[in-house]
Amino acid sequence: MRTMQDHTEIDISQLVQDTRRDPKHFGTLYCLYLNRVYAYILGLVRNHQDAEDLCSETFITALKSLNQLRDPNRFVSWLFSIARNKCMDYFRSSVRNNQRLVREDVVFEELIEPQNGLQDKKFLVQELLKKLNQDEKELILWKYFAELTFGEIAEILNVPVSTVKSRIYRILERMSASLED
Amino acid sequence: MEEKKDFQKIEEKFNWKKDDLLPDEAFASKLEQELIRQAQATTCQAKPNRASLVWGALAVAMAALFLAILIIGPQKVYARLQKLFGYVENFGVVSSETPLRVLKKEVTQSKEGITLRVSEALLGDDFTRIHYAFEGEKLAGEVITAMPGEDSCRERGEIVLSDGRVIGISEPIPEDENRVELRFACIPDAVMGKAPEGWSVWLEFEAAPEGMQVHQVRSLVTETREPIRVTETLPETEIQTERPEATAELTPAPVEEELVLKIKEYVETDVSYILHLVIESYIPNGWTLMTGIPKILDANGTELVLQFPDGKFELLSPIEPRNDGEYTQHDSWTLEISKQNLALPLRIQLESVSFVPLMQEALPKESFVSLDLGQAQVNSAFIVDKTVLLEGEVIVIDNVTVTEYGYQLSTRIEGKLNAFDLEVEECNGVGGGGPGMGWFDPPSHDFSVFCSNSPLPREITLKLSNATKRLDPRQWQEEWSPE
Repeated sequence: MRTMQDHTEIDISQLVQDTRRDPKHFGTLYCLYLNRVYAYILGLVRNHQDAEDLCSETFITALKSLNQLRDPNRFVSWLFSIARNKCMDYFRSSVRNNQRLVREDVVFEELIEPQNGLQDKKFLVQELLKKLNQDEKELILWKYFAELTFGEIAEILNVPVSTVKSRIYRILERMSASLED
Repeated sequence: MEEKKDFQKIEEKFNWKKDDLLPDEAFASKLEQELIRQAQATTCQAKPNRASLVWGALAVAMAALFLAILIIGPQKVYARLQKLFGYVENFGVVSSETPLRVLKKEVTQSKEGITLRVSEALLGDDFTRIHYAFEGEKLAGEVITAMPGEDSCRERGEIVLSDGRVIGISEPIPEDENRVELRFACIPDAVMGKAPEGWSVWLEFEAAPEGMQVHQVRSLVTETREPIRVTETLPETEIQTERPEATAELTPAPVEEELVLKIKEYVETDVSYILHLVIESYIPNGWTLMTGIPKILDANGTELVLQFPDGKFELLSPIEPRNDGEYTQHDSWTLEISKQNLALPLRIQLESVSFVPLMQEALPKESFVSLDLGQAQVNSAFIVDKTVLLEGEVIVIDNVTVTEYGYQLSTRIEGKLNAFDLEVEECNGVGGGGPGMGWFDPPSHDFSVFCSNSPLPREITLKLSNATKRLDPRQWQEEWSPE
């Protein structure tokens, strides 16, 4: 049973410290964050095979580098920073090797659709989502698929929380406006 | 507050299809197994060495030798074959577009009978490798063995550049920086508060001497990736299972295992060969572990003494997807053997053990146990002592403890059963777990089950599933000679 449910009651910082003493506790962190990390990576790279590779690399790196994490309270943003770096390396490598995505298991624009009653606006939403740049897609993936808090996203990007909020809000506003056209 | 409402209002207009981004269960399970394996390895390394504790009172007690290794991806490595790329003794494989630099002279700092000694360093355009050690009689016993409630120093050192910028100990140092400060807030792995803190030494670098040997790395990778067939040898003695009678009724289907041993690359120095041994293994739906260390025999059948040199070749991804949706596992070793009186060819041998699902036909794949824990409080412990059959194998639930996060369960298993998963059905969220295949400490298994329900359920149902068994160990052999 690996589901991303309410884990706010679990003290992640304590769990990180427990894991530093005994790495076997890492399994718990893995169970808690696998789906969220995977969702973020898959949303970005769009095919399962690459997402699995990058997700494996992310967790293995995290396990091996946990001692380098200075502040256990920042585990979540640290973990997603690793995932982000892996994805960036992947994209850089793809560009360098002139590789094109051969299979697209996930289409980003199809991950978000209007609620019932507004299905006829689906096309407009998709058009808008297509126009999002990579940074904006990442924000959406972090917030609504990896379920990070604004604070955690701010830590990853090293920007104020208010900046993250306003960026996401602007995207949502545009999406919402497309429904009212 | 208003802003939160606005967000919510807009969010609710959309359907966020989160389920489209869930990982495949088989992948999740495989990765979990690999992490367990790596966590076990990390745990083993983290245990204080008993011998060093004894010797600590006499001489050097702890040598926290830290070799910072930059992991270079394969494409990067091959793209750089044109520039400096080779094996430097004590430092492993390095590549650099700029000339290498080394430590000008050894530096030390002493405090309260403990000495920080930086003995060697090698710098390239994208890596820094520093060999340092904390030495001293005081670094023994309680100073390096944390008791419950005590914290160990997790610092790994940092470098301060001339402009005040702080970088990690393995990060590249700019080419024009030949004098930097190396700092340690505390001694790595020492118990906090029990050893002097605030260490700082100045390191000076100079161009590597012209005579410094950078050995050529001979890559033996072929484009075709045609597996080199290995010869399977029979074990010298029949390996007995712990309880043969417990598994006598099993009628396992034959399992096809594949294992490829190969020397991926090697370095020849004046006195030795340094081999990068790679093991690729595959077993349908299962998992293979290498047991022990490889053994190398020369042509006369003499077992060679192996050294495990500092530094490594490029790291391999531990799992590689196959076309059939399964995974090939990778393990690798860096081994050094002396060339003196060496009779070629060599025979490389190792032993593996594999784990596969039990899959007993005609038996249920899940079993259930109900428990009433009454008014359970955190740290309440209950003796259960219940026997359950899972796919015909015996599992004993010994006891349950209520924890801050959920439940801790102790179980015992018998026969060839190696592992199983355990869930608490009533728990929301992450309500279960299992050691995964390849867990090497039967007959006991402890489970941490996480439960986000508040309060925790009083009556719980344990669901046992995914039984796996351990196959008999197998031995593998490959012949090799340098080109």
